[in-house]
Amino acid sequence: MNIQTISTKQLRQELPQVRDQLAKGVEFILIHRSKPIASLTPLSKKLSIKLKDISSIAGGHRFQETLGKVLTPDYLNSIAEKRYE
Amino acid sequence: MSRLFLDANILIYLFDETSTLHKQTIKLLNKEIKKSSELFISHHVLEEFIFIQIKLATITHESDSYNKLREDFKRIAQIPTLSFVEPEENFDFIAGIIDLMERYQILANDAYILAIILQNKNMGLMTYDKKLVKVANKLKIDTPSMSG
Repeated sequence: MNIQTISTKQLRQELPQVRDQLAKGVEFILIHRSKPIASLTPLSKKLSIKLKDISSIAGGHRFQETLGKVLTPDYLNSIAEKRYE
Repeated sequence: MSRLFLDANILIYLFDETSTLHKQTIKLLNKEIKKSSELFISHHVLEEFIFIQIKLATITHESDSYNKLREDFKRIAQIPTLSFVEPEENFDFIAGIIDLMERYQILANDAYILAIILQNKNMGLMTYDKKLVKVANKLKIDTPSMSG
């Protein structure tokens, strides 16, 4: 899982690296004197928590209709397995 | 609260609005979101998703396919509670992959999914791939009903 612990001292010393990690989606639990005091969560993750209905981000492609055949899991597997041919 | 690993086919059906399984996939994901389930994905599954999307775009002559793929990823990033989970960085993990491939006669991509799930406690698998479900169940990996 992308959750790491980091001390307040580390945060001061390694801020650029922490910022890079946050951009990659890593979350941090901030530790001070051996106790967790805060969490650092990338904003994109916080925004995603607000999304309650996945249908608002669904759709966008019309492959099955254009293809004129059902996109079965077996058909998708046959495409994926072409990587091994 | 469940912890579920998403296979590439879930994402394919989520974004193909003409797919027979599109509405069912929305329903299943919404059900998990409502339960505050934690959802997981890995880079190798996303690589498979990219490969299939580009192949389908090529076969169907979809226009602007790379920008549409970029848009897919912006939307994947909005899936509630979705996080990356990745393989352990050691060669024992790879040995486990090969064992799974041999024992269950599966390909490396499926063995990676199962091995990642096995390395994480209480993680289930969400997929429409019946062969993969069958092997997952043999490994006592929970697979929620995909019948909607």
